[in-house]
Amino acid sequence: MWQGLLAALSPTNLFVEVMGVLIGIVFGAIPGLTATLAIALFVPVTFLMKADSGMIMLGGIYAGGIFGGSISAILINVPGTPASIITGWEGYALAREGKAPLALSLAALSSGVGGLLSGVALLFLTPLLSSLALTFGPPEYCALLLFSFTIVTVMMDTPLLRNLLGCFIGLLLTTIGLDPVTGAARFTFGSVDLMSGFNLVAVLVGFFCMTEAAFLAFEGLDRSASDGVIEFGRGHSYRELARTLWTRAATYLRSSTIGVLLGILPAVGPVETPFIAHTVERKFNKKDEKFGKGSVTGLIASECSISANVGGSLMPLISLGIPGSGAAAVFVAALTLHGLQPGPLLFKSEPALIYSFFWGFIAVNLFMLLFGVFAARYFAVVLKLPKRVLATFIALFSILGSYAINNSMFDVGVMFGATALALWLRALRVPILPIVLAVILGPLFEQQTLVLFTTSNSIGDVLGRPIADGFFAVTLVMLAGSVYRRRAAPRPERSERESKCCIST
Amino acid sequence: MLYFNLISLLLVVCGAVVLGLQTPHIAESARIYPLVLIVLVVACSAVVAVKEIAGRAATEPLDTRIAKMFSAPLSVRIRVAGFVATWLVYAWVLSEAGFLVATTCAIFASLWLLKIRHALVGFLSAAAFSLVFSILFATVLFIPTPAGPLDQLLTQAIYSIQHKGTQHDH
Repeated sequence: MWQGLLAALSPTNLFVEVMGVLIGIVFGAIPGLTATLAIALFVPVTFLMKADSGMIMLGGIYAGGIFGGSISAILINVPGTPASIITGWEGYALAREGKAPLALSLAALSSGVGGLLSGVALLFLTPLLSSLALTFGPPEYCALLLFSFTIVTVMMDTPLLRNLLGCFIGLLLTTIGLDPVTGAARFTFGSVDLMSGFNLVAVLVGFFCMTEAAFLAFEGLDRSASDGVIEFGRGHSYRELARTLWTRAATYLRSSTIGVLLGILPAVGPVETPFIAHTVERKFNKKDEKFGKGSVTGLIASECSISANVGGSLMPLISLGIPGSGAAAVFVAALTLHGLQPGPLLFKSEPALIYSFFWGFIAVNLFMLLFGVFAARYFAVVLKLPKRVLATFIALFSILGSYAINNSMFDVGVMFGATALALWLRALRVPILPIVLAVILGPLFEQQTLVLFTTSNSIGDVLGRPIADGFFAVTLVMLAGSVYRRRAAPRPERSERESKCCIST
Repeated sequence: MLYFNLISLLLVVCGAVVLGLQTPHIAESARIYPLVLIVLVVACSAVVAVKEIAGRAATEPLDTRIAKMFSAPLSVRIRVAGFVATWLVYAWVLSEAGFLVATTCAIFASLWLLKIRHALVGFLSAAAFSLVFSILFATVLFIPTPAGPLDQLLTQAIYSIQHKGTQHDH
């Protein structure tokens, strides 16, 4: 283990750690370019390096890419990667209050802490936690996903029926393409492009980036707006930042734990994790009125869980050979390129490489934290650009990002379609959040539901699973509580709540 | 506003019905899940529509940012529409014109529509930005972009510079 530490601190590895983080941040900050894409593009480059250096560099790109996504999310409300949607809500609201440097540094600190904790978990708990992933079957997945849908649907202030409608529309959108179990084509209307459904990244770029570009274009022209420039914000003290480590220690720990635990589950990646961590944290911070609208706790929960998820997703990959996320799946390809077979034997055959990679992952997160806290706030100069310039470049990168996913203009069309849909539904006051959640979790939900129905002989097969039962019970209690609360609320309050628009969502 | 909401909800129902009409063509085992969702979308839309008519649903007109946009002067709305149209056209001609030409023109048109102060500076910045990013995409970030005649010339130039460097090393 200690040899791995020395290897991770060798000059070559230190260099690739810094380079990996920087490349990742650049990719992550550009809308549409995801961490997975960056890793996939740089796998051939690592072939020129030693296996441990190559893996560390990919780890750096992964971690940097995930953090990079929050920079554009915080500064211009355009999530660089789909994982940064929640960070965008909290961080952009803070930036609008003139606290952009604080939001960026806080995101870096939370991201770094989450990554470091997941790195420690990687070092000491990999075999133990990976075995936990194997206890998760279709009932547990279905229960967890239903829990997520319910939380988002009932917790939002907008009318329950509209939230539900958004959720169902999102789920229906994900049924377009090939059936995940039988492979039968659905709603493709003979189009080959529709066979694989709508690309998630293109849809999310349309929902968040292009719509924001249109709004910024308008605000840049609007004379009633200040001067077409967003307030840059003042600096902050590092003591204030460090203080969050103990004043919000529970949030850091809870969100990191959620991130790691969800990370080890195959198919629950960094995109889904912040939604769950954020909603759980909301339950613990009921008095925080700014939650979802510029809450420091919300930002920490989101960033911590995303970064912790990165480390978590590498656990089953290393110990079982099962990738915990899309990006982790690309790691399998990288390991194979270097002649290594991920799985239980890797620990025995290449312990030096594994521990070098684990320590390298910790170092990468440390670099990311330092870079983010001390340098990322300089990214905030972006806010000094006039809104019209921001709008132009957001539109450009939205199109290029959508095109780069598959080198296909079809994805660009999907992105424009998603933009139109988002604007239309906003006008109809159907919130975007349930749709986004449904689009992200829909394919997994359908797959697990179908497997559950196919493999279960009776209801007892589901009720005999304690983890699933726990999730179902909490879901039912929350649903009943929410319906009761809405019914019990006096009429004026209900009307007020129902008339709220879906500005942030 | 009521009419907008009702027509929108009707469109949602129509969309769901169109998908519903497709379900008989889908293999039986693969059609149940989408069919359930179609029913749920139609039912939800219908209930929301009924509540709208009964006046029990929200009466607030539009999302604030969209409402502001609609109430802006006509010239501003035309410019925003032009901005959107510029990027739609950009996506349309990108494959044919190539990255360099299409991006330069689109950035300039967009900035001009959004009232940039100096048109010449805008054009030169757009051209410089396209060139720098074209080189970055090709040599550092390895992101493929649609190639037109100018892009092909640039690729050849980059290749010959890199090739000369390699020969020089040998």
